[in-house]
Amino acid sequence: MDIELSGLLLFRHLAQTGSFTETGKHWKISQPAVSLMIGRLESAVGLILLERSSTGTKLTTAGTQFLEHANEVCDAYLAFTDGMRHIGRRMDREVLVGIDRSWFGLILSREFPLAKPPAGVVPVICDLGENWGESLESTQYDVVVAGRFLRAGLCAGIQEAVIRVERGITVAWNPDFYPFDPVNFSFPEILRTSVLIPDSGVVTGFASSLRLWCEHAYGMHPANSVSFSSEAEAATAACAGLGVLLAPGDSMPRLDHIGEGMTHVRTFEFLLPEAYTFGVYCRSDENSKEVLSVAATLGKLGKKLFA
Amino acid sequence: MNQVTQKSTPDLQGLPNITFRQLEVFRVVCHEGSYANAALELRNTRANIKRVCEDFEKAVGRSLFTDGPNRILLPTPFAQGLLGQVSPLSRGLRRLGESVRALHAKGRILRFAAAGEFFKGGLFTDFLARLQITDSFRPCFLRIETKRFRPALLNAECDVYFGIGIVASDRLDLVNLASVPWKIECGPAYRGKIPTKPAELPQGKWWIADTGESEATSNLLDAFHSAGAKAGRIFSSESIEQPLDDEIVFSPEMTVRHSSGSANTWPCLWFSAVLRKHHPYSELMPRLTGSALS
Repeated sequence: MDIELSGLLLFRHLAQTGSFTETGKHWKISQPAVSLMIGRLESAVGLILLERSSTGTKLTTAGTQFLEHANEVCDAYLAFTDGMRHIGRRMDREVLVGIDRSWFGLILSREFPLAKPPAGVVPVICDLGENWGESLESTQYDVVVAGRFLRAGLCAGIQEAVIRVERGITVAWNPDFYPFDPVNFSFPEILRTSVLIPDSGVVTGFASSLRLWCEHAYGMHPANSVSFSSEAEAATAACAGLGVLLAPGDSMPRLDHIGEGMTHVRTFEFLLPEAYTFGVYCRSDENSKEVLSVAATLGKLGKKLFA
Repeated sequence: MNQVTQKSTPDLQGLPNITFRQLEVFRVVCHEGSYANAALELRNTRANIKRVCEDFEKAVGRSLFTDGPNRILLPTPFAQGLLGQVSPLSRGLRRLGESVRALHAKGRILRFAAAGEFFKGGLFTDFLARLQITDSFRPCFLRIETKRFRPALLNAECDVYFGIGIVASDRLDLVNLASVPWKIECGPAYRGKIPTKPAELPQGKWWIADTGESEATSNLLDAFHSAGAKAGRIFSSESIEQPLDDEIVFSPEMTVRHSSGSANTWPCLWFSAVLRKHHPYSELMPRLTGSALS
């Protein structure tokens, strides 16, 4: 049984989505290539794992039983490749830095290459995916620079150097479209409108915490909720009257001219004194001097720029 | 002078193409310190083991071994690091292998399919009685009409489709199992002097019933013509032109048992089994071929 491990990953994804096209898109290969690899996997194990039809792909009985063990192998394979890349990076003295899409993150990824990196180290900057805490622990990244809402993203295996902490949240709207009173502001009122929220790639845990908070404190969800891939995009939409911007911490200074003409309120400042934290993260047991020196450089640069 | 490199996304999609065998071979070579000893341990040749290691090196993108003293193969620091990561993956793969073996031992489901008329008996049941499959498969039967057998096979709705007059195609394998005997019907005028070979067929007064795929029937008509018959025609139940009472009609006889001894002087249709090319059940093709009547 000489199976290709990438074929197993495709099979797992196919079992979850039921679509060859969707699987191809996810793994960035063509749909016939997915078919070919699944065919090779079936031949290697001598089992028919999937039944294809015009309405979608479903697992056969053998496929269902095979998937139970294939799941374990897929997880081990992903951990193996993470580990392998990590070893490779250590040997090349590369440090993979994941930076989020926040205002702070964008400035840092622009400024960091201009700052002098530690001698002999090759920092590689890349975009940060979701669940960066887990990705950092599984060595997908060496250093993460990101913002978190409340305690989201934190886990036992990672350590944090705080660059900036901001209180509460910012609620901003265009007064031409919404009649909210900034003096006697009532938060539940905005839940009857569309709320425009930066997504988890901008600040981890913000949208999910907000949803939980609305449900527990007010017993309701926003009438409509739209995610944006940056604070500025969400603010632009709010400015156009498409909804009310909800952003972590003190958002208005970051929005600069986009916020002009909008009315805003800072709320939950006393309830949530450490609502938004922007910091540098690395693994708790990190012992690579290269990684620690890059993390320190980023922390120092962040403090200089934002503290 | 070192630089900061910018990447749009971490290279998560470009996963190395590693195989189970490469991991096993890599582990043994690290342990044995020589390709030759690893080959002995794995009951393979040194050249094969070396090739697998080279493929693995290509997949991971770094060299794994260096030559040490006394011609011992030493794992590079990268390989040493990798070795520490291999165990959980190997363990998972071994468990997966065991579960696959258990599924094989239990007997895999094999779905035979044919059009409705085959279930009456004759050729189909005759062949099934000859076919040895119950040792590794649990057969079941589906009724799928001829016009949709190709998508059914390609979509893995069924594994083997039985039919007559089926034409080979790119993505399907065809095994001819037996020639189909003809039922020759002719009017009272022919009593006592039924033609016995194609050349004796009266010009323009004989027909072939269109029962399989139309391409197969027209190929058959060509074969009749090459064998000396002149101006035959094809008809089906939907044809406007139908044979007259005093004309000769060839239609395949599917419900009779095949008699292997009867020499056939007529070009004939074949009773065939069709399956996906590279079907996962590798034993299937030899079994079908083995049960075919020459």
